[in-house]
Amino acid sequence: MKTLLATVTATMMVLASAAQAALPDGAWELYRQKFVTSEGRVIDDANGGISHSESQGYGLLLACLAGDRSSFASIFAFTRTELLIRDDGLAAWRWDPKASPHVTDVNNASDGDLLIAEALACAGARWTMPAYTTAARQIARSLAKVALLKRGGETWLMPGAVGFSEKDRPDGPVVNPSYWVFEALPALAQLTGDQSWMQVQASGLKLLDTLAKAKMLAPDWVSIKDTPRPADGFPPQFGYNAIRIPLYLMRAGLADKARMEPFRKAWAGGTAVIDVKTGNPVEPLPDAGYRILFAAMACALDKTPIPAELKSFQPTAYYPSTLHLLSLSMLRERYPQCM
Amino acid sequence: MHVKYAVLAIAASSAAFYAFGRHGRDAELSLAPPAAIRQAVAAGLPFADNQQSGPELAQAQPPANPAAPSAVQPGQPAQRPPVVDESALRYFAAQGDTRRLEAELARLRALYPEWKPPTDLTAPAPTGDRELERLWKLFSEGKIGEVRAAIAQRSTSDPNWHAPADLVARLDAAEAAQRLVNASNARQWEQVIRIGTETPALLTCANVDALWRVAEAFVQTGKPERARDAYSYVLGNCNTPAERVGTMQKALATLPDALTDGLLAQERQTEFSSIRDEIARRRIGRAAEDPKLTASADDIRRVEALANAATTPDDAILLGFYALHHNDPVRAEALFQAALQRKGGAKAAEGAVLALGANRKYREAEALGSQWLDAGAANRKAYLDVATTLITQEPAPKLDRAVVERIAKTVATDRYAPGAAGLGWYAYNSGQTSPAETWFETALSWDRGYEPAAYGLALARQRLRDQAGLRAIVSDWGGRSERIAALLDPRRARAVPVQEQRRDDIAAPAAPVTRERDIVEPAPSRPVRSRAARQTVQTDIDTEPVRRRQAAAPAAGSCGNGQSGAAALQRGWCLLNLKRPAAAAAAFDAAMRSSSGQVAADAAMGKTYAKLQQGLTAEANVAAAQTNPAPAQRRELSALLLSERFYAQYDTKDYNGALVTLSERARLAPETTDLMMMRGWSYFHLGRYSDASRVFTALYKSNGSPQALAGLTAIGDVTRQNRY
Repeated sequence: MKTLLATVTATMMVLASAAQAALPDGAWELYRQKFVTSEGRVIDDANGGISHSESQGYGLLLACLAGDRSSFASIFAFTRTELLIRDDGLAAWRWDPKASPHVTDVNNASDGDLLIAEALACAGARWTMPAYTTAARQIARSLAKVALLKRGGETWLMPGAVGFSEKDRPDGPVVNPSYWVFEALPALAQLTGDQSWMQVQASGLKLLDTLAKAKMLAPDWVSIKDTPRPADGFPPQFGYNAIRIPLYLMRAGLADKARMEPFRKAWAGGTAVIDVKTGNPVEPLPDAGYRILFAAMACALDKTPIPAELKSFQPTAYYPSTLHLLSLSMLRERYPQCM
Repeated sequence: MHVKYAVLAIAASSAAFYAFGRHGRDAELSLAPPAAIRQAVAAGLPFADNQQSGPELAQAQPPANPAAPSAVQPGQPAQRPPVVDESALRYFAAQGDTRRLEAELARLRALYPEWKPPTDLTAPAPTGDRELERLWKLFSEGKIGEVRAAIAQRSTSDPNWHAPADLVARLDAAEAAQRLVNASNARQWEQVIRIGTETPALLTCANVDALWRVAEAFVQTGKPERARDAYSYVLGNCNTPAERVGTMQKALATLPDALTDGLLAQERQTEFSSIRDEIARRRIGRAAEDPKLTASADDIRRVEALANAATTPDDAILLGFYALHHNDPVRAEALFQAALQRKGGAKAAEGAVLALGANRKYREAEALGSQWLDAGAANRKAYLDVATTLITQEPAPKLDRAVVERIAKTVATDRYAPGAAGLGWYAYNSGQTSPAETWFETALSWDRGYEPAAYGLALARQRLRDQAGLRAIVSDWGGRSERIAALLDPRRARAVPVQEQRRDDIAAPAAPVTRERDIVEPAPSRPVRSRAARQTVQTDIDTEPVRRRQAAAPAAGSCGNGQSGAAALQRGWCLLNLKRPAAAAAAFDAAMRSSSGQVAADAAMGKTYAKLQQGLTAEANVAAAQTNPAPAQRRELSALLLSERFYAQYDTKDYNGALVTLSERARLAPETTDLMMMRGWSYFHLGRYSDASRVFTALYKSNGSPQALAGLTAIGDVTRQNRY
């Protein structure tokens, strides 16, 4: 009963906040002009100009947060026509403008699906468009069927329909902690009435807390076959995937101090990709879109003021720019005193 | 009244894949109300639950918008005035976009059969709405995302404005069309079916490609009847000739005959005549490969007419093989000869050789086949079959030296055991028992389980009075071959009819020993043969041990030392049997100088064989070159000689030398599978396991041969032993 109440409360918060959240003036417009084509494609310019379910999902979410119904419509038109073509109704994850056919990997990426579903729920509520809400519900139901793994009392979010399970890999199951878009999980539970999504949230938090207790920073890819450890064949790094984790925790209001501590400590010397085995930086991440991740944490936990240059937005590359806007909207909504 | 608008309904019963609904006044007659369709869809598609397949997934307007898209929400006509939205039509007319104009006209006619297109299409659209015109313009330019954005924009700024239902329906259809193509390219067949089902407006003659893709999805998901229905829809309703023929071709490529027959019946005039030709060819082709199948007289008549009308050989070849495998070799021969005259190439030659053989024209068959030995494996096989039959005849036919030589050479190159045995019978039936014995031994060395060779060898040894050798064969084979066992058991020999054993169509002559007396006195030009016959034709069944051949004095003198060509020839074979190939070669050399053409011919064959047995020195190559001056033949024989040298070296465990020989040979001819296998084993014995593994793996991948697998297993065993 208590859980249910918490769920409903959290969901209402998400939906309500989505409607009220705003981005700094003109920020979304700058983003849109640089990364969104007129046909509604969101371009990952640092990756050969491809698009993917994640970029489309972020584009949809930001359009909804910015209240740009028109861009939302075109981005969704592209997403639906080009990516939402799988038999199971989920999005094919990779779209290459240079390839024919454009979809070069029809596997899904669960975070992309989560983001698309969350953004559709946001749009459906914000503009009273039941068609969007229905589409969000369909994706959520299908994702629950395809990507949720119940194992040992936990409910895991598998990164994709194929390739990561126990039978696919010797160290399987393998998960990606940054695919837990925590803010989306209560929304999906509310949309579908499926409490598995709250179990997914619990398992994700438990995984992060277990890693924190073991003094290990979350790697991008984690084998959960036994005690969680970096998955084989991937660099054991807190890398471009995992750096989103503190942002997602803060956006979802789950930023407990103990849970956040490892991330803040790791970046005390500056934002960087970190080797989780040594704790040493591997590659600095100097972009404003990365630095604001640390600044937001510091302000949220210790009220350290955010440098003025990070409070305004200038687009750089797709990925840090996206994280920048998500951070700014989060700060304006949850920590207005930081802005 | 034409029913032109198809609603793709996957009814649970599926008796009617297409339910035909009509819009307008009498739409209450609609056979497929949308709710029923959706339920049927839900029942038929594993992933689609009810909520998933509803039209809401389309980007419909907010519910405040009363104008539901007409094309995607059929079946609610009572609430809708039968007003035809002509705005798109007018827009395309104004743009001069005739392609889209035609498509729109077709679509509206399908939707509203009683509707008459306006005559003043180029007059400005009555709306006068500039922004709406812009939307249509964007749409006609295919800028779907921008139209979506503009509609959302205007809905935001003017909550009372609603996009025209026609525009929304067409947007949905255009998106669905693209989505269907994308899903089909990504082989997401269930999604293809779902999209087609949700967007029946898509599945019209204006987009036959979409119908084809849906049909393919049905085939891929194991619902060929529904694919048939989709094709049938095209043939029943669509008029573009290329699309109709394309539809029939796709159906033929993917559906069983039972389903395509009905589609063929939807032919208009004779549009499918070339397709019917192809079908007839296909059926005859199948029957040609499977003698149990019979082609219909209609099919045969059709392809015969094609063959007669054409100047190309293909139909004649097809009919030739059909006739050949359906007991009409005379006709087959005529067809293949005609095909050859039409430059039918290797396939025609193969058929002609087989047909000539079937007509017992073995000499002609051999002569023709010998010209096509380089054309491919099938041609060599046909040649070896007829050549073996030719030389196995009784009495032995009189053959030119060149013929026997090329048969021997081809047999040796291919290590064709029945051919070697055939040469054995040829020698045996000609009274040349020693060479016969050698050929039978060779055949057995190539195929240890080849009973006719063992039987021939036993008869040859019996005739040579090599009792020990005979006993060895009988003890080895007696348990497996009744006729061999009977050779040392006179009671059985009389009681049991000696069975003629056949392999392919090669006859191993039945017990020629009992007919030895009947051998006609050879022609004067063949003194060797008459002499050999005289020597052996004494008693037919003589089980008394006269002498053991191997135990005989090994001196050359024991083989005689006569100076005539015939004596030298006989000595050559005798020495060869004593495993003295060098001395044998010298004797054959002497015999080759004989004035008798037949003696010289037999000697040349003997010499080639001696060199083969000798382990093949450089001298052997020269010898071969003398008898085969053409460079290609020389290369072939050199390769053959090197193969033999390789086997000799391998047998003496000289693996390094063997590999060198193989490399030498590889410069002359591609390595055969057998030799590659032996290469692998050579590496293996040298401990070069990774090289061996590479070879075996390549072989295993190319033909899945168990021998290659055995090699890999052996490597695994050895390397594991090494590790522990």
